[in-house]
Amino acid sequence: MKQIGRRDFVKYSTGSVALILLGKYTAFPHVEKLIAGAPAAQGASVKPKSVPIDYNSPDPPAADPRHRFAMVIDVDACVGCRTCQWGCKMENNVPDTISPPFIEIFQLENGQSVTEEPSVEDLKKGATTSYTEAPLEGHWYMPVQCMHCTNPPCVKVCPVGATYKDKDGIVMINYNTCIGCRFCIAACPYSARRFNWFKPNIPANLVNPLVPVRPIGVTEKCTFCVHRTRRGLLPRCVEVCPPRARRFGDLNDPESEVSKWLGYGRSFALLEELNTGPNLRYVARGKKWTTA
Amino acid sequence: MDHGLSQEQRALLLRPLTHTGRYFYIVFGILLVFIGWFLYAWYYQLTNGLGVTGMRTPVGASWGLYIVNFVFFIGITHAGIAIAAGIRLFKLHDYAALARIAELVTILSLVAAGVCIILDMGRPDRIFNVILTYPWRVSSSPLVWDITAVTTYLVFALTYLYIEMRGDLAMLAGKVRWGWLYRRMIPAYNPGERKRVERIVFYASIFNFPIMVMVHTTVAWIFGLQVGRPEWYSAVKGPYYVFGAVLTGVATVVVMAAIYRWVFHWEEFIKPLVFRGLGRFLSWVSIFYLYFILADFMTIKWGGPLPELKVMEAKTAGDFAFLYWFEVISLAIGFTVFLINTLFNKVFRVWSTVAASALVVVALWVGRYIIVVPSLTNGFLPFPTGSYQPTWVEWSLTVGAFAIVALGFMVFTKVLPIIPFTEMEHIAEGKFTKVEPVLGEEKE
Amino acid sequence: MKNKVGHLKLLRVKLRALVLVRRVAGFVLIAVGVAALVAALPVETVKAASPDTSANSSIMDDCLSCHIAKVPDPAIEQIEPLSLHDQLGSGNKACTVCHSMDDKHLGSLVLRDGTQIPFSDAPKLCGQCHQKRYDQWLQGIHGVPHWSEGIPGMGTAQNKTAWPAGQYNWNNVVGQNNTAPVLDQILKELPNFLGGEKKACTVCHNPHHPAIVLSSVIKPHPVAAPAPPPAPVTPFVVLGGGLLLAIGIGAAIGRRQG
Repeated sequence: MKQIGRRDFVKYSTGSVALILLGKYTAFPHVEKLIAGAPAAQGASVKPKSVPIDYNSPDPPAADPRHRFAMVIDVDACVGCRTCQWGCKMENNVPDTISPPFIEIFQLENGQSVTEEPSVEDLKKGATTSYTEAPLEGHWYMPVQCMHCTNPPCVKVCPVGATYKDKDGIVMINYNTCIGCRFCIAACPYSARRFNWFKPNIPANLVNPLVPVRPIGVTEKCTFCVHRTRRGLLPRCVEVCPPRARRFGDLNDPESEVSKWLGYGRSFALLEELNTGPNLRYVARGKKWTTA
Repeated sequence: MDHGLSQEQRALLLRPLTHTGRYFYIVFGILLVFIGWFLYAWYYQLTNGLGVTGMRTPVGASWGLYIVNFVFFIGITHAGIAIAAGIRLFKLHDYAALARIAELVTILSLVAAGVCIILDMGRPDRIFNVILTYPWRVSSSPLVWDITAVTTYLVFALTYLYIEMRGDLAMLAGKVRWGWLYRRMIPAYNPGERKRVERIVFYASIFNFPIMVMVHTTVAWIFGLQVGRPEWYSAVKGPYYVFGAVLTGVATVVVMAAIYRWVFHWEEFIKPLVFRGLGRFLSWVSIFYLYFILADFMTIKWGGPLPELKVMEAKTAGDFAFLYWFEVISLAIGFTVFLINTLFNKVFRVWSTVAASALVVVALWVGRYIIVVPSLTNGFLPFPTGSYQPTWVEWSLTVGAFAIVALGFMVFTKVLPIIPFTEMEHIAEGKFTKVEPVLGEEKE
Repeated sequence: MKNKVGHLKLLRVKLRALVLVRRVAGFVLIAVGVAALVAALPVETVKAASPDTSANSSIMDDCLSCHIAKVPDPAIEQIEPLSLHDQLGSGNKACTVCHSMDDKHLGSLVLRDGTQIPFSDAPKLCGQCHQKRYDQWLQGIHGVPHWSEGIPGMGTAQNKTAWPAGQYNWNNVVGQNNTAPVLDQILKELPNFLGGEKKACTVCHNPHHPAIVLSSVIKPHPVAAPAPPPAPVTPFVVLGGGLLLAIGIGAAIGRRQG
């Protein structure tokens, strides 16, 4: 029986690969332009000329493996003012088309947990994010954002490895690799990840040049302000919190604020039983609106 | 039947390849319009972003109709090759006419599933990233396992179809309009290869079953392994999806067989007993599937954790109640019809089996919706989500995907032989009447 | 004889009635006496603020009588009784810790060392005690405001009004222009970079009643994503027309099957 010759096989397979590569480098840039706009339009208007932030370069600085970043929030001090939410939005160039921004704040009644509702009819009495007055008597406030888990389900499910846990504990996203399949959004128990359903639109003079403006079709989330924390600053939400309810630091450093706060006594984290190992924990120090 | 096919029978079997009627053009034209509409809607979505779909709610249903369609189409892919494999393994000569129709159901559903996934991607221009990062992700991501299984299955199904079609192409090359294409499709054809092909096909049919189970299991594991969503994390998802796939697939083949039988007047080749047999099989599978639905319901309703209860409440008494009970009741009706047709010969009608199968297919599509969306809009944390309402873009792309499948059927039927002609000849000539051992010795 | 018995009975009843009346009268008199004695006792009562008419002070030295008046004068701004900050002194002394006695009705505040400052410099005053907060405010990381129009009705104790209606998004946000050219400068100015105008402490905190007015610090929830553009009508017309066209062409050119 005649078989396909070796020469023919090599011919056909090389031809197919060449065809695929040709398609990738000629046709696909046009498809990308169709979806995300021309490369110039993606970020040029927001970059001042003298700060050459290359979208593809490893900016911010590389991770320092000696750190193990974590955040602690004192829910007794939190007054639900949403300053952190707006500060994060402005610091990280979160467009209006992503709602809520990376941080969301729940108002709960005293004695109520965030996942508890007494019954289906009582669903409307549960935790709410749409409160217009705060702080109210008999209520407490809990901000939720990416927990930068030790065992992150979002990292496990990404089909292209766009999201990864960096050496200093921050769960990062490579916006160039993300294909927008949104598996990570479905996998996150904390609903902490956001997707760019639309082209982002931020006034050019208000964009923070240290943070890339993400293109349409990719996922984004809280990064513990990686552009600040790897340069020795605090995340913006920690900085602007009026009652100073948030602390950020290095768990490997016993003198850091997070180590101290976690050492005081009990702390809790959300959905711990799912074995995600969240690195954002909550304490209740009993002093409302502390100035310490 | 030792005399082979008569002239009239042969002409009837070759009818799709020799005659094209008015209705073909009409339906073809309608499908082309729908596909044009599909392309426009896709262009609209590419330029305006995925925000034009109903998934754009703040943290709500990040997956919607596209993933529902994906899971649905993957669910159909089972039956085709399984039926074809079963026909060859167990020498089910009465079903022989269905073999290639069933294989085509598999292949076109796989293609449609691939299309639906690309529709869902936020950045389809980066699809090569999946290939480039494959070695590093294959150990971790259920989506990559699914892509692996589906690609393997597609290659397997295409190879299977091609190998067993070669004999027909060779035989018909001189007789039909598209013969010039047939000759180019069968390089190195040797009439003596039939025995070898039969043996390849036989062992491939056995090999098909683990592939098929893994395809549906990996799809199930996309949901079943996620602790992050209430009511997704469940060990029963694997078997649940496999049985759902068997059910959807066989029901689809029943519907397609009925369509072919009606359009081309193939009553003597696709006999009522075919529908009776498939109906009997479907009665078993549908009751198993209903059992899984009951197990799911019971496990949560009896005293499940609150997030799961919330999702089950939304499904049975909340936003999704109509769809959930529609699925359950339709499946119950389908099961009843199959059972009655099986038990009572006098009451059996082909049309009732086909209608019940069609109802089951629709119910299973709704069932996929019920699986995907409620857990996304009722997560662990009470983010306000609103309700998921698919928009015209999503509906257009859904209809377009079905139109692509239909168009594939029409083109294949017109160009390539949809009936395994050679096999039908051999069955009619009685060459299969003696029982061959399952693992036979070399013959000839 | 009968009359005598009846007469005796009557007398006995009358006698009992008289005794009763006497007893009741006695109790009444006791009550009145006790009441009179009690009323006459010297008891400490809450004195309404009254003008201090001592020689070295004018009527202006007593703040509370006008500003927390029982019968308020509409021309004089009324305040709630101090809370928390009333620990700075008792009665009027608490007022004078912050408000200048020399110039109190012409609008100035006084620091601990006696320097007078205008109301617009109020943060300096608050910063004397709330040093850390003042430093943070100077750095622009406390009380970072984002709206130039300010917050309506701020500074009043009862204010719990919601934000004015509107879409709170990047369009309402006011910040400095992005003019920092180099990275170092960005890092140096980053605390102020997105700060916008600094607002004084009293914009968010009512010094007379610090606890209540924090409710006005809350910002509205960022606006949700906009709805997608509505379904275009014309393409649906095209779809319908195309379908009819396909049916027509098919019917025209195809042969009847059979």
